[in-house]
Amino acid sequence: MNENHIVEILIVEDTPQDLELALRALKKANLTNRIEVARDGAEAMDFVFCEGAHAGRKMENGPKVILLDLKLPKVDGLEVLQRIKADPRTKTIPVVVLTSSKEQRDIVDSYRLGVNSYIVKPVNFERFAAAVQDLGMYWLLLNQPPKVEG
Amino acid sequence: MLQNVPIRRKVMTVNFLISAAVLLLACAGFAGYEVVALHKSMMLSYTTRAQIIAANSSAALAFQDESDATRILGALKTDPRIMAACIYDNTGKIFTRFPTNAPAQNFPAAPGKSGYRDGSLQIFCPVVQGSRTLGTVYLQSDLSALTDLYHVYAWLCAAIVVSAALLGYLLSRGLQKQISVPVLALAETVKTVSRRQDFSIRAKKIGNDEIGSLTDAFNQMLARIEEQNKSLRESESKLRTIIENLTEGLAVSDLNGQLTHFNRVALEQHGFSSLEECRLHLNEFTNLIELSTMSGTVLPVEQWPLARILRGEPVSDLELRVRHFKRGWRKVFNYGGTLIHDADGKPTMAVVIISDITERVRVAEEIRKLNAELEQRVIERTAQLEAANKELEAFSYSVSHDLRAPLRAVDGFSQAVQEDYGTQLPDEGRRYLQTIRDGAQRMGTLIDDLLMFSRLSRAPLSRRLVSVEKLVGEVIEEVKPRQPGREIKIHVSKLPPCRGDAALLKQVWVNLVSNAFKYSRNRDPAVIEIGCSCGISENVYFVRDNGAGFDMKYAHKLFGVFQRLHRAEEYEGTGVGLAIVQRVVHRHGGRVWAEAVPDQGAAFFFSLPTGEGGNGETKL
Repeated sequence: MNENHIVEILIVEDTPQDLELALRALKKANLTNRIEVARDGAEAMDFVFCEGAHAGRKMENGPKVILLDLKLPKVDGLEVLQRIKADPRTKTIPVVVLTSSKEQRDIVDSYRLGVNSYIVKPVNFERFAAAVQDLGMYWLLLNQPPKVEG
Repeated sequence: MLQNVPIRRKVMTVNFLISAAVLLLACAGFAGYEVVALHKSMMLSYTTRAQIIAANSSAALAFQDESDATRILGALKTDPRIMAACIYDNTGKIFTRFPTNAPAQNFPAAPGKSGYRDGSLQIFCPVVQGSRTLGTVYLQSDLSALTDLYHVYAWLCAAIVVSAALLGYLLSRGLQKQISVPVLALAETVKTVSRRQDFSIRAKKIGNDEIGSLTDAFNQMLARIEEQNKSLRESESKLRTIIENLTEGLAVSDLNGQLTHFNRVALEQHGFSSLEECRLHLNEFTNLIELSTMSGTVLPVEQWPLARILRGEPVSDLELRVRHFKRGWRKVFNYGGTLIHDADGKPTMAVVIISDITERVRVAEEIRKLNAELEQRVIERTAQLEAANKELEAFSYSVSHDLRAPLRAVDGFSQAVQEDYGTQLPDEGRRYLQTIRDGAQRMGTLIDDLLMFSRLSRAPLSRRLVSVEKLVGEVIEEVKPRQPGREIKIHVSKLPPCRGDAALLKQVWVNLVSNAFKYSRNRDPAVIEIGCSCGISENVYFVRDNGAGFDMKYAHKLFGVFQRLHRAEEYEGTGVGLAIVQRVVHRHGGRVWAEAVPDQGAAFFFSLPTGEGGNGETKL
């Protein structure tokens, strides 16, 4: 992966099937390019804060939006959310939580930590589009023509 | 000197002395008079005789006839009392004498004056012839005549005095009874009263004199004393009855710590069988019993309640442990007491009030022990419950995330096949795919319902006043649009507000109203009735429909989780709705039940307590 290219969407998801379904929904929306995947919370934070394996990356290269699963190995989603929202460099990045259910505890905690929207899994295109509308991110997903690589 | 003599003798002595003095005085006066009179009459008698002799002897003198003169004088010998006699001539020389042989010195040398002298009566009488004095006659008589009379008078006086005294004695003996008998009777009564202490005796009244008044006054005094004694006895008896019937023990001590009285309860408390046994000094009690504080410190006798009361310290509500050395029993007594003062404020005795609180203390200790045990158990159970709750939470959290992942894969990839390869599949294949997706989604719903059920059981209740009418209105508005094209008549009666958790109660109403809509969907029109019957302690709300109903013999299964009375093809559902209703109502302290007739309709009732502050939340 090119360390310098601009990443628009970071998906943090450990379940392979969920990840595949989410990627499929994005693909249906023609958004497969500029997507970065993190398989656990630690990897997600390394990526966002350009640490560890991603130390060479620049923070201004994104991501522009983060799709975050809550139940993650190593560092869980709420902790990742907290770190992102607590850091002035990253707190403006919209975070969409991918929820498995309507567990009240998760919803309350997420809101407390400043989450921007929810998508209940499995992620399909309609729901993803609705979430994007919630975020008012037309500039990112609708108004900018996707750049198709290769 | 008569002070200590009985009054009877006093009266008699006085009488006797007075009469004796009067008699003596009278006799003395009489005797004096008689002596003077006798002297005079004797003088007169002898003077007369001397004058006779003088007259007779004048011739003899004139003629100096001595023998004649001697003869005249000789006549005197008839009178033995004449001691001597003589005739003087006018020169004063003894002319003749009688008795003739009497010596001349027996006669006065010359005539003198008449009178009593030398224990005899001497009479001089001149012999006169014409105007010439011829000589003087002299007579000397002894006084034996007087002495004889004196003796007679003395005897007479003595006889009079003795008989008068005798008479006086007899009279005063009779008369003194008038005074002494009433006085003595009174004195005897007084003695009897004081000896027998019997104030009912009365003195007999004799006469209306001063002693009579005294007797009356004395009797009145006795009556007063008797009356006062009676009322004193009555009040004492009342007091005694009260003291003996007190439920507390009462002990009385003098100011030296000598116990004088125990009432019945106090005797029982200390194991005494008679009043005599308790009459000990405070110090002697230390050989019988031991007093210690509630925490077990043995008290020296100076710290015992009575000792403190005697020192003037007020004692109240002092709880002490008591141990009887010989009998071995242990009790707990509550002590109180005070010094008792007389009207002048001087302390007269000490009173100790004793309550046996052994049983109370034992029960209190038992309760304390049980409470401590209970508290410990509550702590343990709470910890267990908290652990179980945590486990359950972790479990349901895990269920909600992990159990769904495979389902999502089933549903998501089935959808992907439908979308990407649907056109390449035969109809049968597409139907199978749809069935797979339906199954997966139904399982998702089941998991959601189950999680909700578990969450409703655990979430804390936030009770506040809830307007049921508003709540039901909202529920109907939410549920109704899900039933398009149906004619449904809904009657909502007046619904009183209740206290409870609005969110949970809304879930109850949603479930009941949805059920009513669901099971009446084959009716045209469907009639749904919502109402409440208000009671004092609880309000019973109900939802009635004219739908499918059910057989009452399965009513007991209605509220169980996943229990269904209808086949899934007839009426969809997970069988969790009524279980949620029951759980929420129970947690509000209410009850839930149903009545139904197959194919005619069902009515679901639930009660909520009206009492504010809640009758306690029934957990799980």
